[in-house]
Amino acid sequence: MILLLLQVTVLNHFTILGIATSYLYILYIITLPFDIPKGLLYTLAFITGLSVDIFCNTPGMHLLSTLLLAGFRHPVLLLFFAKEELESYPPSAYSLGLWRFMRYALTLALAHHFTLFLLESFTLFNLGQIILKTISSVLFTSFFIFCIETIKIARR
Amino acid sequence: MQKLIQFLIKHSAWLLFFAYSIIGFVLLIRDNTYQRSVYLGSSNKLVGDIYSFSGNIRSYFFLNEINKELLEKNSYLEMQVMQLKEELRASSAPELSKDSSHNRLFQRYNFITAQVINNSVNQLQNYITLNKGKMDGILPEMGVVDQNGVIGKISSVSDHYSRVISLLNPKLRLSAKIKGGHSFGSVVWDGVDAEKAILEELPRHVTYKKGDTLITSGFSAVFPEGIMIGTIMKNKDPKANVTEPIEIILSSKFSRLNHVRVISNRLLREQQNLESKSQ
Repeated sequence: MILLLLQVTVLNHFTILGIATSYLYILYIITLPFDIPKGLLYTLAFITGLSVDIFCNTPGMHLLSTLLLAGFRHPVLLLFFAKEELESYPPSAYSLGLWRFMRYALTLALAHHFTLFLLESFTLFNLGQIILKTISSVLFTSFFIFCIETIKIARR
Repeated sequence: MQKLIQFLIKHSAWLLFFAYSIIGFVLLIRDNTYQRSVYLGSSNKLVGDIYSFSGNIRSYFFLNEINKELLEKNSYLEMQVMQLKEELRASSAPELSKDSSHNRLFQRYNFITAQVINNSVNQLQNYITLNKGKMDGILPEMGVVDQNGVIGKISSVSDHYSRVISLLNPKLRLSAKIKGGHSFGSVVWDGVDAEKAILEELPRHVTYKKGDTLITSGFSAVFPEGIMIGTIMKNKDPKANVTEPIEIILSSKFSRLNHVRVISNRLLREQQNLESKSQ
């Protein structure tokens, strides 16, 4: 988790064409174990989101997006995978297969980024720009998640 | 109590979620000026809309009192206008008004507002009852008008009520003149239509057009000059030789009478005594 926070302090300044940014810290929430008690899950999401907020000087935005991500995690997991696969190991590309994991990560990242950019503009005035930002940032983040998961697989 | 605790325990995860998200929103709105301005702006608009809607409804409850106040103010202002007119006329002929008697003209006419509590328009002789009487200063033979025109004349009073001979009553004859002219006639009701009356006794040489206004001539002691009675219906037929009764449309809506004003002429008794003595 500390690693991811360090990454964010670096990654924040990487933008493609000034539009897409990668938010890699959500990987931590995505790869938490499946049967973790919900209270603990939400608290972890709260702390993570709050820490990122403090660093980015945007009180509340990352917090709410991460909280939403944590809330969505359980139903989306059940949507993509059957229950037996998830009980033994925490979800990761190693245990579930790379592409299936990428699908799951992509969905959650989409939800997270959309909430984030929506809260950032707080109006539906410039919806086109919000969607543009969302999609490009999702692709960027997924790219990094892909890289990291591949590295993890290769290491085992 | 037990069930409440069980409920809380069962849904504790969700409650935690909601608690965290509330904290998140509070942080978001409090510490980000842009989000705060959007939130405050839209909430102000929403609250403003709701308040204006409820305020609209609430104002209906006060309409009655506001109405009464407006009528009182109205009659006071009309009285002032009459006084000012008198003043104007008196000041335009200064040699005739050197003495103090013209001061009395200013306070000559006084309005008492009253409400109609009984009315009829479909009988052959119509009477109106008002909710003010002797205790409010109303005496018989006083004139009654409303904001549209002449209504009638007080016939009898009790302590708290008074009876008015409506204009829709053949017993009442008004002395009237055409606005802008000098010749006068009598307005009387013919019993046919509650909105029309007849102008009689107009000299034959007088020409008139449709829409000419008819006002009180001021010759009777009851009504001051210039109060509207109605408008003439048809042009004068140049070929007609005999004075046909001229139809006029009354300006007051007798079927919808509500608030009226009673004109008290302070010099009424004096004028009437003089007129009856010299006859």
